[in-house]
Amino acid sequence: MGWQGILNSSGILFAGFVGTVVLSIAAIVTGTILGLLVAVLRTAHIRGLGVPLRIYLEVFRGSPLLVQMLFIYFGAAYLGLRFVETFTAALIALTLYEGALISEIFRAGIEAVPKGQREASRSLGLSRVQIERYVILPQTATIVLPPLVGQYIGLVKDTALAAAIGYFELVREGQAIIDRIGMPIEVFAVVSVIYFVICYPMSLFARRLELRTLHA
Amino acid sequence: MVFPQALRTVYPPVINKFIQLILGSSLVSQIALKEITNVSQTINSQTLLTMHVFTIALVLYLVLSNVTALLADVVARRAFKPPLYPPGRLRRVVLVDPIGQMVKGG
Repeated sequence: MGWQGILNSSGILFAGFVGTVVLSIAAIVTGTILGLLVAVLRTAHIRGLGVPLRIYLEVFRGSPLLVQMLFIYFGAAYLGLRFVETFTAALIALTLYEGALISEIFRAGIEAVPKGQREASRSLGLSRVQIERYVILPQTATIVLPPLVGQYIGLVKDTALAAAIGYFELVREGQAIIDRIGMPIEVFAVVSVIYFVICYPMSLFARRLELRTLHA
Repeated sequence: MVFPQALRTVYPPVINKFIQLILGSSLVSQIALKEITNVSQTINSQTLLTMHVFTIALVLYLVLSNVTALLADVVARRAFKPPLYPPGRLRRVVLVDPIGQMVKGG
């Protein structure tokens, strides 16, 4: 026994690693799309959309992700939506929650672009969509990228909450191993190290991006 | 001399972190400490009134975070001279934008 037990469970841990990575990547993609969409819609000041988007942001930033996840998972079951399994529920919750946070990053980036850029493009006869697509968003990329990667690191760690609704990722698989061989300290230490291995390269990357924006 | 000035810049992000800490307290439900989330899960499994239970939990957290933000704003109005924000309505959430400048609206 001892560490040998954990070594023998490495297959289970790997399954958990895959679960975490798959959920993270899926949520990064959907969360970024939602965040970008919300940010563009908010900064475009479209009448009638401002209040609903504000409410969306307030609700999802003002309540814990865990409660949102439980709400969506058990709520879907309550409403009889059979297709919402643990992965789907976790992905929906992560998308809505991280989307709200990411939209604030994009919004700050968009607002950092000088107003003259928008006015100049309008005087050149570009449409609203063209202005966003070809003038504003390319300029926000360098500003937005470092905090965005930072947010992704947080997202990876937030996927751990999916364990609470029974999605098999690192923490849940770790608990499964503990159920069989005990050694909670050792197992959770290994799980933490795996999270660190995922997140540390990301934070190095974020730091490099930060330096690059400073020099730009 | 230094501290009051540092407090001005540090105040909004600290309040933000504090609110996140309150929301993060939901995590202790997973190690069986009885707080809002844990109790909601128990009631949910006992009564199966899922929507009611989790809506109430969600609203409680929203009240907690927004009341904290409001109080922080009231305190900021009294404590900081010149004011931290341009005068106007009380903002419900003290916001710091992720790029490090203060957000105008909130």
